[in-house]
Amino acid sequence: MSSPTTTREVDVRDQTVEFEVEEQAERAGITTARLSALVPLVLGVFGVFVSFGLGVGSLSAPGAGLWPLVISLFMITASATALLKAKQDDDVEAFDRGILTVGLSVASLLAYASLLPLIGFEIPTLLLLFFWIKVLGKEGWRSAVTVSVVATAAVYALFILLLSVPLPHLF
Amino acid sequence: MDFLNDALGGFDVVLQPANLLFCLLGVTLGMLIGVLPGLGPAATIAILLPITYTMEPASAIILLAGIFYGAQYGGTITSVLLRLPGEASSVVTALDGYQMARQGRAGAALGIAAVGSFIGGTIAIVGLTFLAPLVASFALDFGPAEYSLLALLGILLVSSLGNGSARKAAVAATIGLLLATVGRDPVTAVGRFSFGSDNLADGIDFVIIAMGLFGVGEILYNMATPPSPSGGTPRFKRALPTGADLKQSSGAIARGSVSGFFLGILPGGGATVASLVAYATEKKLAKKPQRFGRGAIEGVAGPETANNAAATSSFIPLLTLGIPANGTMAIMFGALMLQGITPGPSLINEHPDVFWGVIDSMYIGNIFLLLLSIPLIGIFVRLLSVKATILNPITVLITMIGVYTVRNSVFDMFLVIVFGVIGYLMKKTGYPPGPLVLAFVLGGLLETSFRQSMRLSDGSLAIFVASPIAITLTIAIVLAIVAAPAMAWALRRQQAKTAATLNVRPQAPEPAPESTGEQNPAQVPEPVRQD
Repeated sequence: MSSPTTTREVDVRDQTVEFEVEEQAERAGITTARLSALVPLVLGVFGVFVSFGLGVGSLSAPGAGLWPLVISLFMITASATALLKAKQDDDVEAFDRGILTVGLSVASLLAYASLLPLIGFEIPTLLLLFFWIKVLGKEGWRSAVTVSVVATAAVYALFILLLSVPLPHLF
Repeated sequence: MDFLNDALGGFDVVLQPANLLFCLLGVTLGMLIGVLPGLGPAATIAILLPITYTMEPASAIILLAGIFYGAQYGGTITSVLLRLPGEASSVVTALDGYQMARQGRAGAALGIAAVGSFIGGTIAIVGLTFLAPLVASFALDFGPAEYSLLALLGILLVSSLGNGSARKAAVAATIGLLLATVGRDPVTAVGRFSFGSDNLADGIDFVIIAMGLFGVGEILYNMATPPSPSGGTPRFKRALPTGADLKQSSGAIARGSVSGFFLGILPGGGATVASLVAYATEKKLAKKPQRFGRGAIEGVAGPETANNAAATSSFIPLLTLGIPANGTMAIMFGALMLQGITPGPSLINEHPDVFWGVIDSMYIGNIFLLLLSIPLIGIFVRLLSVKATILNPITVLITMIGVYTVRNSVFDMFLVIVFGVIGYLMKKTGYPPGPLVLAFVLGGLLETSFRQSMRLSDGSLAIFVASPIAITLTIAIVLAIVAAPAMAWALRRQQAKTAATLNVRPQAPEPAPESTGEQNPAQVPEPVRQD
């Protein structure tokens, strides 16, 4: 089950350092920091529009939109401050190659959720585990197959046989 | 003193065999996840929420509480042996604990941590037993105006005192408040932010947000930056401190218990602040402060006692006022709501079995922890070699299936993935998820009580200074806004100092070739969890 290549070893070590030195992990540029503040800002502006659409009313006779409006205004203030002070941010991590792993992880989870109601949980579960262990985790064949099969069987035993949860299943 | 009867009655609940088992299961699981790199207690509790659906309310909270305070202790083990604090509240323990381990006194360090945790935890439970009913009876006089102020104060304090920058925490909190408005307006039942989707018409389930942000988000983060593969695990002898160790630590344990208890009650503070304050106190009071950082046993005993005491007392605001003091307590709040129980001043009278059952379970849980920790440390340490590449897929699978079982809804599975991505991005960009979850939980309470007070006062804001309690709370809010930056600054300075000390260690005795620490001398152990 050892890593097949030495480059992987090096990879792991580098990432280890980043993990342990989270404070000193590679910092992102100011663009990332600004973008991360811009998103809630836009959300706040959107919230204001929706709130007015819902009807604001007055303090003594509040409409459905009054409360969301108040929050949206606070959100705009807070994220605008964060945007202006983005230069001082030292807690934004750079998106390195890890983003690819995250993207694949998310895609496989979405596929899992889409397949589950169609073909039951067994095959998607097996595939999801195998994909995460073998492809994303770069583990060996043997542990990937063993863990996937055993875990799927355990889910079946626990949720279908023992708890009778109405989880879509083939068998 | 008639509450003592109820208090003793709580033991009837705990001593039921099933509940004893849940308590044992909780603390064991808590220690386990405290040791294992990756998931923190907040994530674990969030992931287990669906399982607690079918349980008795008291059993569910006993289990979850066990995980919470068990994790406090588990984090210590990695802190001492590997200089990798599992929890934020154990960072400062690494300073002297790791030095002790290198001097061959790992057993003494872990043993004193166990003893200190037990004493601190127990003293805090006694405090909780007497203080909680008092606070609850006081809070019965609270009207909607007082509740709005209290909820606001809670969100403010958690945002300003938590980890990370205050402005980002404020942004996170407003996102949580906005998410809480999704669904029907509480008064007029007009649909808000549901975009015509039936699935969103009743609002977003708290479980989804907690499991997404804490569970899936943390797993995604770990996938991209896997936690360290543990190199060699240091060997250690029996985890028993000597009589001299105990004597030397007794002052630190006594002080840590008291300061930890009071700091734990404060929202936003909790275990992390308590451990930092205890370390600073011990160093200040020591006759030879230069011993600190080189393996002073008080430097382990003080913070470890304090963080356990604080973890325990942070239940007070939740159980008596219905105001969670930190992110993990927010999830506990959610767990109670799932059971149809609203935490607040009436909890003690309406559900005495839950209230006292949980408190009394902590007495038992602490004994379990003490008994378990000493013989099981060896096993827990061996578990460190379980690979994240195996653990992550299994955790994500449990999360996905768990989410589905909540409402048998595939839509919820997609929603939890979306919140997972949001949680991952927040973690990467320095936005703490704690304030978001807390604000989401308090958002409903805040809106409802705010609108009730507005109706009572015909739209006049004067209601917020109309009673002595309201005035006190308003002053506290103003103080929090004014003083929070200063307190946050002091806290960060202390954390930076801790980091700097860990960075440039005064002495590096015999090198440990297998430890990752030696290869990367510039590292600062930084916990990856939110408390």
